[in-house]
Amino acid sequence: MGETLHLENELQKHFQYHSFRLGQREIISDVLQGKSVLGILPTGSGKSICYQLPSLLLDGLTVVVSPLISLMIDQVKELKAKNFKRVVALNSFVTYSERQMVMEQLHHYKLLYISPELLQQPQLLKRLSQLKISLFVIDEAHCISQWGHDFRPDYLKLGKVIENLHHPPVLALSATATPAVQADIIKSLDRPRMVKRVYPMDRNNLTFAIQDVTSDQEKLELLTIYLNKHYGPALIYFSSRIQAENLARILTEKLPELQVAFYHGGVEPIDRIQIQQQFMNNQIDVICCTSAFGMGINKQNIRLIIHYHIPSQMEAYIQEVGRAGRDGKPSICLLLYGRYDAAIPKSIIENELPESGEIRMIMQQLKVLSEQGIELTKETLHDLNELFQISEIKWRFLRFHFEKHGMINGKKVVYQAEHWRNVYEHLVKWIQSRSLYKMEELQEMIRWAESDDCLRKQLYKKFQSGYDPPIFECCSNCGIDLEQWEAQALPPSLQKDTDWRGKLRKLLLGAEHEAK
Amino acid sequence: MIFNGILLTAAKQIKQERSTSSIYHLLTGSRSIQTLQDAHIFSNQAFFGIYRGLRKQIFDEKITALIQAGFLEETVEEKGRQAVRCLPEGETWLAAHQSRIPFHYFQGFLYFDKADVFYNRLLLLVQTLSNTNESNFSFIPVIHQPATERFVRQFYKQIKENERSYLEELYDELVQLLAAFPEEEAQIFIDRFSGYNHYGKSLDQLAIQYNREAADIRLLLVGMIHMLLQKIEISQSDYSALYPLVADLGQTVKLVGSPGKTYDLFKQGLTPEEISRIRSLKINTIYDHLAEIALYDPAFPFSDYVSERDTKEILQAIQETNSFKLKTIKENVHPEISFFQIRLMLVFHHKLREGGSRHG
Repeated sequence: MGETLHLENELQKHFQYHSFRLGQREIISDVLQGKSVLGILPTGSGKSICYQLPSLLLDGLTVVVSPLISLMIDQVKELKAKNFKRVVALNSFVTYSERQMVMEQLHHYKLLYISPELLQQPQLLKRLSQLKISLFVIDEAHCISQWGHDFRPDYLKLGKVIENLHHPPVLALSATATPAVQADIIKSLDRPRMVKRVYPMDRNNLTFAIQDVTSDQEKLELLTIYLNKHYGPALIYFSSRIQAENLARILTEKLPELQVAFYHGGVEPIDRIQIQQQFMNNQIDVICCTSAFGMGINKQNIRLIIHYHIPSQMEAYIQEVGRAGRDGKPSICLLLYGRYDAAIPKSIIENELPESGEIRMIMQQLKVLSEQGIELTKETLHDLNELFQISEIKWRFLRFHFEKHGMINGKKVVYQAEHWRNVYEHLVKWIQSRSLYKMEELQEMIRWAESDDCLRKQLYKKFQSGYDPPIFECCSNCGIDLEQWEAQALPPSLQKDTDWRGKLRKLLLGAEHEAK
Repeated sequence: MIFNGILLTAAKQIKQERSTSSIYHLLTGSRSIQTLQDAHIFSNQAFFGIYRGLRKQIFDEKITALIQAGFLEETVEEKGRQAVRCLPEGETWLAAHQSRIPFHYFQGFLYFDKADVFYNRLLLLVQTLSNTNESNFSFIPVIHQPATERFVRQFYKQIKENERSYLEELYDELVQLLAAFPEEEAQIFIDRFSGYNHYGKSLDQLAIQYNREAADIRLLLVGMIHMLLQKIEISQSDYSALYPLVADLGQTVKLVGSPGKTYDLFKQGLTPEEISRIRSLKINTIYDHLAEIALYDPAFPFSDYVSERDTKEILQAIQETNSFKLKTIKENVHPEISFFQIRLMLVFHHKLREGGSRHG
């Protein structure tokens, strides 16, 4: 009891929260006792507190591996805004000289966010191994599992990294991990005695609705109708950047009283921040986005999440709709489902990993390099890339496997005919089985979209048995009356038109000068 | 419109003597010696580095669109790389839009490095002061760059005591500077700022709001920043609030990295061969460096490398062939004259033409 009270005091002191949310206290006390923990907590449940608070209480450095640079940046900013200053992020956006500076000062920090790629750098790893690492956190831990919806080869190397850091306690966190993925995470980390803290992921304030459509025109009509009634801050998810941009423009024209913007991975950093923060600040009502949006977004009152395209996996869907209604108030998740849409995720799956032809070509080219005794420098790699026009992700994937099988050793290519043939066959087989697996996942998503059964029950059944009864309407298959919903609508945000001098005056000299 | 205008102008100036990619390198401010020299030779200095971060794919799409519109024509340059020629239709379009495109804002060669630094500092400073002025010390900074954040933090400490009067000065200076632009441009400039309880518009939002292309919004802002920088630097004392944001940024164009090291040895009076030995670099690399040094060093001793007779011959060949192509010129001078000497003479010819202008 005493310890519990103590933890709540610390929580209040550092984060100004009065009480822990579901699971946080249990995970934090495990971690403080030096146990390794696998924590599965639903999106928006405050996973980050599970390591942010311990990082302050433990002696030494807490390292957080996160694949999402924007999330990293957001969290560091938020912590700094809360006066938690001994926190820093290292990722590919940090320049080399800044990195050097941080590395020299590393012992001054309590919390380090780092991307998995950077963690592969020998110099950095060496520096980290000299420090006391009190806790090693793996955020989005499902990325470690080849069966997770977001597998990242770099994550597979984390086991080795942990070994280099003298086996600190590990906290693996995820919002979406099926029992199979959970087992895979524990196996990859080789920590069979990890404490499992798994919490149900169903959200009783979400209403699931699926609307069948036969054309994009119909989708647009429905969007206009729903957004016209205005259900409060809304996100519309797209599988394609261009369509997100186009729809943002069309909706701006059709619904002039709403502020609509778009957001995707191609938007430049400052604009990403401005759009996110406008949304947080209620300057924007609707964002048309890709899955790049939402990680780390802590907006409490998102009332409506529309999927313009069907996602490729239940996990991805659960994560995206999980951004609705964090304040616990009723919110709607609407999928606009056209049977013709399945082609998009299918082609994404097909193009995600290299085909056998691409692998063969790259291997051949590498063989030529090894015969000519040419080293793999930045330039030669760049040339290879130019030649094949292979995506960064594909190349990273191949490189990881080539290195793992000793075909690339540092900068050297090591050719051995039979071994290479075996690796090639192994890779092709592996990719085929993975594509097959992903296609099955997509089929599962489609089955859900076409099912007549309760959507809530079907959505969560893979992860847990049973769910909380919904506080508002359940789902379109159980029958919902969206008319009733309108009572919840928020007024659209207002834009004031002042001339630039007035705006500048308000910015620099404050609100009382506005009217002058 | 601005983007189109700049692409057409750049294409017109290089007269298909360079590849299409060279325009891309010009706009993104590639610091290769070739790009730097070309910018001078073809009088494209103003556009140097004004669109950093432009993605190649976007550039290619834009060029294709201009070809399809009949403004540009695809050709090849001497090394067989893809090049473009500005067609009469393109020139007509340019003439018709000349007055509506603010070409004169751009001074890329002077400000390509400073512009970003200054703009980021200004955005973050305005956001910071707008918040602290309302006693709000917890906000999400729109610029996430350690160097910029450090600068603004440091600067804030200096002015904290007189924050109010600094803000009034800053307001007056910005109003005065922006009043020189058309109303809509000033409006766009201000709409991008974030402050207390308010986050500025993204480029795409501004594009929709003002019915312009996103690329044009970006270029316009870059051009406006160049104008601001020029005015602030010329009359420093009139801009006591803004000048400190650029005071520590030295001459933009300087020799850094490897060419800089060569320059140091060159100034000690070493010959290219000696420098090549000391630095263990190929002689041709040192020649590359020297060609770049020739561009910046007002006292570069051309006569040490090219005799008076050869100088005459090369300059005459440039004039007669009316070309800046190394190969063409080489074919029209006696065979002992090297490519390096021709390159030096191209720089010399350019300096001659520019006279004492500020880019010289």
